[in-house]
Amino acid sequence: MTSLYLDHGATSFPKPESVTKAVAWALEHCTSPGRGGYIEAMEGAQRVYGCRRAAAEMFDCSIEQVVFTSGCTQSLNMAIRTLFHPGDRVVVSGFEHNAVMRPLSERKVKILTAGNCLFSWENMLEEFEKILQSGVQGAVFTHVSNVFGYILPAEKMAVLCRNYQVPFIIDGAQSAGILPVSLRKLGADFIAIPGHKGLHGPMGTGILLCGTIPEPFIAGGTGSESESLQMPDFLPERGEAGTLNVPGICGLEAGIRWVMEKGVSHILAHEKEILRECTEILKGKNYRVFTGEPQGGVLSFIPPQDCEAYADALARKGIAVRAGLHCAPLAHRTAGTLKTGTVRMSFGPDTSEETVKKLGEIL
Amino acid sequence: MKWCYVKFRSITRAQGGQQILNRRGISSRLVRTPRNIAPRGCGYSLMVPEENLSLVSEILKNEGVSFETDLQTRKVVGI
Repeated sequence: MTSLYLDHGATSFPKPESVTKAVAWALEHCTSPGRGGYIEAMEGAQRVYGCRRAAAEMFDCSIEQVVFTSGCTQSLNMAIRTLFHPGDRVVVSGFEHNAVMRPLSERKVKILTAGNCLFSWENMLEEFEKILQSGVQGAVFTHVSNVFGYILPAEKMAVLCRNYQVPFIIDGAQSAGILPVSLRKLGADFIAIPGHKGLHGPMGTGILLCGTIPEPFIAGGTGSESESLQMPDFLPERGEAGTLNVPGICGLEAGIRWVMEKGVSHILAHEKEILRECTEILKGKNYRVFTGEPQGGVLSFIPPQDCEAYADALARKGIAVRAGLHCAPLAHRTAGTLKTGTVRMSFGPDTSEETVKKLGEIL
Repeated sequence: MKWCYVKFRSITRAQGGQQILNRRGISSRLVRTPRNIAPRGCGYSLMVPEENLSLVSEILKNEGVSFETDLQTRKVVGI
């Protein structure tokens, strides 16, 4: 059994007790929302609305702009299919996950990459603007690198996109619940968010914040305007065909409220402190450690042996980390670590000093 | 008491409308829109007492919420 969990970048674990309870409660008390008028269906609908309201509060948008998905990947797919068409030129950062790169590739767009230096906002902004000037139909960029924890200058990149009138998508996979994210201030067409990472909800939950009406990812029943064979043209139903994951959404609301109670800035400060301590331990062992500013609670390093073998050795000692390419080969190509991969430690609000101490002893 | 239906295109809008009315101390009941007044198919409505209809309409319009009213008043159906 894992005793030191350092893989919050993949999914937060263990979940807060309130999340577990909310999921169990929903399973006992809720049925399909937006389909019936009886007590359990209406209870389900009210809980879904409650989660929309919590998300709207956290991400500074209207309740109807919150579309529930199965996760950040589905959110990104929906956003990318809405905005881009074959042959479009789309600029991305050099630190994108395959959840961005594969849908773009499938869409047959020409991908242009900006930013080839870790932790350099100057480099990122200069290259990004140069590509925007050259003429593109859109931009997609991550807020925080899932491999290196590098916090990109998303606010400044958003301003550039708006100035050049380029539609854009932000991948909030590693930032939601750790950094302030405001749909209104960023002015993004879409922001994709996982429910199960920094928001501490169950796996299988996600959100697409919609500044633009999306094209449906799937079509089907919405419980509204059923005579029409077209998906509704309004939010959030346009993006939500089929029965919603009500237990997951109930858990997600509990997770969002748990995060709001702790405070996003407090969580970031805590994770940065843990990161600093772990960096010292790893540097003390003469590993190559990727640190810089600004950085969130994700830390990559290269041990002397194969990174997967190293992670396996840690797993046998009860330490959960992730190794390899982390589904982000572009980020590794940018950082020059494609051949080796890295070992990644990622921290959460509950990663304790005690955990760091134990880690130091085991290593 | 006679009731009117304030109809919305989505349950989310109906819930938003109900929240606005709650804040103003006006109670309403969220229900499925009766089939014979839902020309586009399924939907949700807020049932409000007939005497509150004009006030409710004014509040929702001022808040920018889109809705339709069914002026045909109904008695609550019993079984």
